[in-house]
Amino acid sequence: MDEIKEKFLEILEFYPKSYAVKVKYTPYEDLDNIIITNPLDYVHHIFLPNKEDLFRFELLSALTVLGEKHHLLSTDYYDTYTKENMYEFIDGFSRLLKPIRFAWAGRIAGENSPDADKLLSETLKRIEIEYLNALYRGNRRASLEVLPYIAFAKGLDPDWDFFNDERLNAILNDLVKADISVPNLIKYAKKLQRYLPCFCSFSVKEDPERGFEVFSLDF
Amino acid sequence: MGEVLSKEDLVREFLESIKPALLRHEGDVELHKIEDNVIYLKFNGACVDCNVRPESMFPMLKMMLMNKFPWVKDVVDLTV
Repeated sequence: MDEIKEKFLEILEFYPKSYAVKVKYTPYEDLDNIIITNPLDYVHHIFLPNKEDLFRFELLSALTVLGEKHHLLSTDYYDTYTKENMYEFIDGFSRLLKPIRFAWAGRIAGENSPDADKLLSETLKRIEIEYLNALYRGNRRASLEVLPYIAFAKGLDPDWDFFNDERLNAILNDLVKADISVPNLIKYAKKLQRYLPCFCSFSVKEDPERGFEVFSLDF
Repeated sequence: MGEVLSKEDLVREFLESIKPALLRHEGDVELHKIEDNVIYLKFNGACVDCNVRPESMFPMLKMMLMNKFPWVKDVVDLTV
């Protein structure tokens, strides 16, 4: 368990403020529960399945890589009316961040998993299922809906071009090699804006009251 | 002993499994031929004029086929 904690802290170390990682017992026999809190006690609960369940383990790791904290923080700057109206913008912004976080998580997973090939094959199966589900829901651009999983697979195996769109392939190729950092997150989110709907502009600003960086969405 | 299916049968069987999803969009796909382990497909219905087929449906189908059948060297879209 200490090894897992270390890995999480390594992933999270670029955050502006330290996180605390607590390990707790849970009623779930096959799960360990890791709780990550930031200085303001916004809490992420991360249920870690057994290590043998590689796909779930790595996907859950992906959720911790970036974005969720900023997502939560960005909501409490506004009054209730504005907050209600900005949910769709936050949703669009999250859609931009997700493939980036998943690409980086895929790379981490590829470097650390005992069986990266199996993980890739499970990821491809997952892409298939999610894609067909998106088609059934009537989404004609279903491949963009599964972009996070494609990015995860790309992180696992960079020699794999999925799209016929050369520009999108180039973005993914650069993304999986890029350093994990907030400036890079913003850089690639702006590039992906061409493909995924997000009708607001965004930047990283330091909150003068709280003293750490947050995402600022302008719409 | 079970029946041994040809490559064509296996691919057709797989395509049948995804057709309901395509039919939701009034589209369809058929196997044209398999030659030297290269699968040639032809899309029909709404898929023919669909501008996202080349960027979305076709690469996804290609990925699925190559992932499912290790003998597949390539998948070609013959839709005009």
